[in-house]
Amino acid sequence: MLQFFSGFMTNPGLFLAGAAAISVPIIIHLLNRRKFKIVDWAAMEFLLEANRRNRRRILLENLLLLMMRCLAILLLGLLLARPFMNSDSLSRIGMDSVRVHRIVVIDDSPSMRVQAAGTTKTGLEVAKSAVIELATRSAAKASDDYLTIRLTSDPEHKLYDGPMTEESLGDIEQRVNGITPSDTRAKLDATLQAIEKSLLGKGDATNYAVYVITDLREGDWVSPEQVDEEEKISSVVKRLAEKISHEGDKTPRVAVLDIGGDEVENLIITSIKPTNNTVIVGVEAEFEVTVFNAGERPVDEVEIELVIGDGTTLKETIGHIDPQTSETKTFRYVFQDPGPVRVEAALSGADRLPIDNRRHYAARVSVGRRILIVDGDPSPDEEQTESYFVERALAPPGDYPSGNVIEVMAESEFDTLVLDDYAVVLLCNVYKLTEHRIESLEAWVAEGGGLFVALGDQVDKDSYNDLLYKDGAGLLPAKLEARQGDETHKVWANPTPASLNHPVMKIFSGDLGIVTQFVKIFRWWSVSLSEDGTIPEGVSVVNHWTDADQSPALVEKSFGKGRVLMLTTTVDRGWSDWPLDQSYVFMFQDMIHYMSRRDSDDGNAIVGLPIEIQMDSSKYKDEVEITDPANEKEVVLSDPDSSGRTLELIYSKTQRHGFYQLKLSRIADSTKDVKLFAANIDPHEGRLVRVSREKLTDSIGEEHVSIQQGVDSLAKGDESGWSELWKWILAAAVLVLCGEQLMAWAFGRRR
Amino acid sequence: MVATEGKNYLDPLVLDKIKKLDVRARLVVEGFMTGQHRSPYHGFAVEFATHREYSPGDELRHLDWKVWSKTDRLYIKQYEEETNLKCTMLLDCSKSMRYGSGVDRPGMSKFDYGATLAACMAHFMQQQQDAVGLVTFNTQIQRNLPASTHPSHRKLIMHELQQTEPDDKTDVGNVFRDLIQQIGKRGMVMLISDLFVDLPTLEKSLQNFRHARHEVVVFHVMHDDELTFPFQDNTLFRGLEMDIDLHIEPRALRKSYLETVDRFRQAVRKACSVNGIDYVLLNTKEPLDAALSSYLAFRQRTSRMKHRF
Repeated sequence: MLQFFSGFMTNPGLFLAGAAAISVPIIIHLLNRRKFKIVDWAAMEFLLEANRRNRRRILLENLLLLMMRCLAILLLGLLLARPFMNSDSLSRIGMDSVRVHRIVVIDDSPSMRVQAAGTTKTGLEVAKSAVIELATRSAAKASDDYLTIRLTSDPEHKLYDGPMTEESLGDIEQRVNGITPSDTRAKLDATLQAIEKSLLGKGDATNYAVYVITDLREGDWVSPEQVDEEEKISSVVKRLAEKISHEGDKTPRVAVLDIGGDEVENLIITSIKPTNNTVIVGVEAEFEVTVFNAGERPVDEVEIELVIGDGTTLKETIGHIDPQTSETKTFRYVFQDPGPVRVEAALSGADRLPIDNRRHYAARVSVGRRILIVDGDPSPDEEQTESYFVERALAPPGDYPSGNVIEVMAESEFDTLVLDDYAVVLLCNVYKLTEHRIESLEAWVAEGGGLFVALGDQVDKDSYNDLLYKDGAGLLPAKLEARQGDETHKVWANPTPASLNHPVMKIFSGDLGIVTQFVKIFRWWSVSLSEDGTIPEGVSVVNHWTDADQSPALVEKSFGKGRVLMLTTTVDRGWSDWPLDQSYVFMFQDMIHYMSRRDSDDGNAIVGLPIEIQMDSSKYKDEVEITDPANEKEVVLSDPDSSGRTLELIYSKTQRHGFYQLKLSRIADSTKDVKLFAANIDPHEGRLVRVSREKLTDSIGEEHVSIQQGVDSLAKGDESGWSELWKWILAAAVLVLCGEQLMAWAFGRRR
Repeated sequence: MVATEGKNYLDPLVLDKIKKLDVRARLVVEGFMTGQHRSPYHGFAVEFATHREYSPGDELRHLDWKVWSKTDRLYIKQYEEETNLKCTMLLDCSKSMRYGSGVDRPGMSKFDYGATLAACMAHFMQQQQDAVGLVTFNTQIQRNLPASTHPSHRKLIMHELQQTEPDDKTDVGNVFRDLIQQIGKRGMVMLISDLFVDLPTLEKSLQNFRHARHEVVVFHVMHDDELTFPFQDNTLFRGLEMDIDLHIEPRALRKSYLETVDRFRQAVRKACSVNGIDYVLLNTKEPLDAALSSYLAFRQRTSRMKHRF
């Protein structure tokens, strides 16, 4: 029975209770009959006469009153049960008062700039005019409908939230017309979840209608990489739809309005980046520009322009790109001056989605990597110094710039040096380090510095083990045990061909593995990685010697954000003849690339993700001037971190693609350092592949969500809904109660 | 002194507290008499008794001029006062007269009211040397005290009134037929009753009294409840004289009931006026002087009639 009533009322239980309570007036009546006064009456005859004449009338009146009271109770129960009816049937009997809360979600992702199916307007324009039409119609109808507009680029924010009346129409139009396509991905799931949250605790019987105006791009609707952390969009849609649907609803409450065209032909510049991560003055920089053909047909003759700085334009052409494949073109350019440079790649031809034919790169041109070599075994004879070969390997003499700026110093000088500006520090056969040096060195490595330690006969084993190894807690990846090998250089070991594809060992990998045979290692330090022979976390053996014990040759350890690499032999000819082999140069060049201190921000981000920078609070003021792609300037204050030494700035208003320039004011001389960031739109946006409606319907289910082509149903806004009847019942109950009172009064008065 | 306080004694609520009927009656009569313009103490009928010699100070109008003309002496005519009225009070002591004596109900019952009225009348008339008799009746004559002027007779009446307990039904038909023969000599008949009787029988009986040349006054004693029907809640009415219980909602029946009562009263009044009978409706809530003044009015009328004859 409850089941039956729940089809058209919110609390059927209360109705049944009300029905049961009908007996209350009857019981009261019976109880009243039981309670009476007794009067010994003399004028009985008159009374009998009166009674005889009136008995029938009184009975009738009493029955009528009882009926009214029962009806009042029943209506009260019905009122509390809050019945509702389909507005269709209501409108048929002229009681239509359906009030719909319309929630319009507009997908304003970059792909909405593509022309909508069957029109000359973009998808977003179609969506905008549909919303305005809806508002205009609702205002003209003077309906009670309520409108909420949300954009997928800004899930928590309601663009508009209010009624649709003549007065508010101007406001709605102004707000809707102000929508511009954003550069960020559509955050559909977050938007729908925000709607769901906002509906929490709202009454059951409100009629909600959610419209999602979208082009159904796969990138927005399917997010396979996020399935684990976040919910699938389809399941969010489904849950929302179930939540706002009424029992026995015939029409779905959530409509996905598809305005996307099926044309998918589009070229995208998916990336632009220098082949080496650093761009150095005077060194020829290579920029790789990757173009992806997101369409279904091959494209020929794709012309790419690379604009560097303010003027220089480089042009290259990619001859042929197959569908769904990427082609890369390399641009070469030599920067003459250090500093941030804007690099922008663009496809010269127009296509369906022009916004992704352009990509930005904030190149930070530096004068070179500063590399410090600490020489533990200097000698008057230049070739005998420990650093002789390594210095030349890192910066080979000649016309061709290496990009490395080398400094060599002795242990004593090194002791108090500030390391901040160095990319890599090499300790070559250093005797020992002081404790405070080690402390600052640890901090520097933890911040991202690269430390290369080469051993040798000068090394003080105990000091290294106590202060640098620290039972695994220090910088050194392994504990020194003993010197091995043949002092007479009669017997030697070789490095092993690289089995791991480690960047430092590129020279020994693959076919080049035979090169290892030309490298003779006569002596080395045997090391132990741990007490029990296991390899601790963060430590890896990059290469072994070919001796019987397979002694570690290169051991790497991650330390904070930086790395430490230990070579168990010397870098000069003392213990090996490796410096005489070509592979020595390659190994060190690769090592420098690998070990170079890298900035936490490489200056390139996706639109919508915040720009984060950290500044030394002793050097910079806390105010930062930011110029956004639209050339609007804003001064933002950074916050000190917990230690107070670093200022942190998180700038999240990166809603536009293009360059963001940050000017940092130095405290000392009030000059300004310029940092450049580039925000690009997600290249996935350009993949115009659409989710097939069938697939979407399968995953969401047809019951609660309808997926429609075009925006017609929104503009019409004429779906039916449940109307609450409580107003009518309340009126009826009041009427009945008033009638009862009137009747009781009238009956009482007449007697 | 009596004038200021006496009025209060006429209020039934006050009178109810005075249990001794004799005292009650005296209070009422004296309270009523005070302030009346004409003294009722003038006799109505005076018969010559004797002559006595004139002495200074006697009223000249009482001189017997005939004697003076014959004898040249001054004699005063003396009259003997004589009761010319014989009044019989018929007091209904049926059960229905009990109504109003309940604990929850202030004021007198109908019987108390009627008895007080009777006592007052007796007291009043005795003071005027009228003969007063009392008959209590219900289905039959309970007690018949024939009219007498004797002072001790009043005491007897008072005693009887105090003694009587209402019981049984009213049946005027048989009772009055007997009474007419017993009362015999024409006089005044005072019926004090709630008249819950068969209307034609009542009319017939009253007619019979008139035929016997009695002056008849009907004091219709009704309780206030019976006249206004103030009941609100569900009530079970138990018949005092009839063995019927009626469970009704009084509000629903009030109008109809009052109409019925009114119709009955009109019928009685009409029957009375046709027969030249004085009809006085008495509400137990109202002071007794209404009854007394109506009696007085009656007496004056009869006195005028007497002079005319």
